Amino acid sequence: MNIFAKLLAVSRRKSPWIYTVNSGSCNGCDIEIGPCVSPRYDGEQIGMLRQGSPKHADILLVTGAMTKRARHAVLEIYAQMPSPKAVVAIGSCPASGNVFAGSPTVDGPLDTFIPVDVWVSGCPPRPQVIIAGVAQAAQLLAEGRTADQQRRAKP
Amino acid sequence: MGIFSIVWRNFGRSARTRHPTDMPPTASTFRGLIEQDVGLCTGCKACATVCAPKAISFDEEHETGITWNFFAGQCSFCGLCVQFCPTNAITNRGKLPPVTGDQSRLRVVHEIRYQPCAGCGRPIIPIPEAALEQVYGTKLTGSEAAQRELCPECRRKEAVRHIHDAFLARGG
Amino acid sequence: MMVEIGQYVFAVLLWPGLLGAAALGFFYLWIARKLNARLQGRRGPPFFQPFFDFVKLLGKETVVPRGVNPALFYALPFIALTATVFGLVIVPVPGHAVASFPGDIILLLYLLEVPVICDVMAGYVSQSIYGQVSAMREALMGLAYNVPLLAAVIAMAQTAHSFRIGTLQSAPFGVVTGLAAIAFLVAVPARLKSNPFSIPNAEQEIVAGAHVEYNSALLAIFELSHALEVVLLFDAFFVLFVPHLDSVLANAALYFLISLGLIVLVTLAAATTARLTVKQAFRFYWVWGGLAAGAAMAAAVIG
Repeated sequence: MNIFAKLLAVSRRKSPWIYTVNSGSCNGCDIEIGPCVSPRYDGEQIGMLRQGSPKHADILLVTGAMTKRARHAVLEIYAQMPSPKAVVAIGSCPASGNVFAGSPTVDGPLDTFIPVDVWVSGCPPRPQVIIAGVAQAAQLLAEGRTADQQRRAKP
Repeated sequence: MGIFSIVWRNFGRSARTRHPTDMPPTASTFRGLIEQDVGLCTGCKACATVCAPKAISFDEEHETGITWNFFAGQCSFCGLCVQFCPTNAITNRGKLPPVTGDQSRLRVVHEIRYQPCAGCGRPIIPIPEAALEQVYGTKLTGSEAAQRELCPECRRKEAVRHIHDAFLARGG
Repeated sequence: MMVEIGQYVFAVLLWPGLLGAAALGFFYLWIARKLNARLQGRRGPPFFQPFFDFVKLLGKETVVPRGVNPALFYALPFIALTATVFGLVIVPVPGHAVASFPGDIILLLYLLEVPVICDVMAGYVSQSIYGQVSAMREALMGLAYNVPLLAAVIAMAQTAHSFRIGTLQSAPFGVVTGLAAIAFLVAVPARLKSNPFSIPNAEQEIVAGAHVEYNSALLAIFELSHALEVVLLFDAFFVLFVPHLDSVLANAALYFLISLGLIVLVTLAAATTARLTVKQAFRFYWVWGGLAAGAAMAAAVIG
């Protein structure tokens, strides 16, 4: 890689800007994402900033089972994020629906709708584990191994 | 002015931030990722029955044994399986649930093999030795140990023969 | 002639223009974030964080929302950047080679207003309700903080009887300088959109403000022009209100010291205050800012 590509890769790893969306969560995972920016765990150490607009974010954090009501919003938000982007599924609800699987209002696991790069398991996962998940997604972005980047790299 | 004393105090001390790799210790009662010791499993399916999100399931379609299937991506870490397992095969000793890009790393499959019954040859899952040790507090020997490898039918027949021998051998 | 062109190119591209001011601006942004974090009891970002944020944004794809005028959408960040860079060129900081000309303080004031206008237009161009509210707030705040800002500059010009920055820089230090400096400082937090006057980019109220639909390289240019605006404001403060020392080295050292002091002051104010409403900000700037402005002007007229 030339020097600019290497610099860009390092910058992608060091500047993970996140956007969180709740697709039907019980709020347990959302409550655990809050302390990620508190003084105890401080995501800003790794450059993590919680952005208000999906257009400013690189990494989408999704909590909750994909409910029918939130499906359109989550797909819209994912489409509005500029590439390269990564998706981190927080908790066990996006992976399987947890206790809500099979409910008539839950559509299915997250990866049937958008490609997921990192699964952070837990119910809810601890804040530091969430930060580790974000750091792992940032590493994938730097290496070009996120699903979005691989899809774009294919000719 | 409270805010000024707060920022002055914060500035004077070093930050109370943990580095991302410095995980805080978990309490002794922390309900983490479950681990199953397949050597203690009797296939009673109590864990699958009490599992709220149906993360634990048993697959009985195979000929060689049954499999204990666990999907950590469905687990709600409630600890009911730990509480209800009669042989203490499942533990959740504070291991943090994993962060992974590959969802298959969240699935665990353990096989509990059938063994032919020592009496009739039917495939059974014998009570594990370690489970019996937990109950009796000592390793079983002799005929008591031999009964472990019998199916319930053969074990009943063995118990009747034992009683018959005991009464008729004495009486006469 | 060639030497002069060379000097201008150096001034625009290296110092005090684009690259030098960008490095300094990113340094100030880092100090602001790190100090803010420490005051909140956190650890804060590593040193090169603003630079990494900038480079990462450059590497993203640009998304233009539907219905937005693409020419304007693309042009606004670059207009803001260009105006700020040329503003930096005409301020005689240490190491500066471009000569001062009559009326350049007026040009500087106009160039200082261009990034604000670009932000306001960016908010309207975005076709987003958040952008429009932010644009309206920014325009209103402009009416508020320009009272002390302009009065400070006018008071200094009145005392020195000249609109030439070179003359203002070498003017003797007096009561007017002190009062005008206070008036200027009062306006700085609002110019930088930092607490308690971070009204145009109130995250909890209007998401990301005027930049809500901006992304990738365009957002990076806006962030860069914001960093350069910080440097420009501090440069202007140093040149107008700090006495000019004879030794070049001492002057440079004083420049860095004053700039560091200013960013620390602004960050302290940001960390210890909460955001005001537009009405409260207006009242503050027209009452207290007006008083400071009036005092500076009175001292200039009387003295």
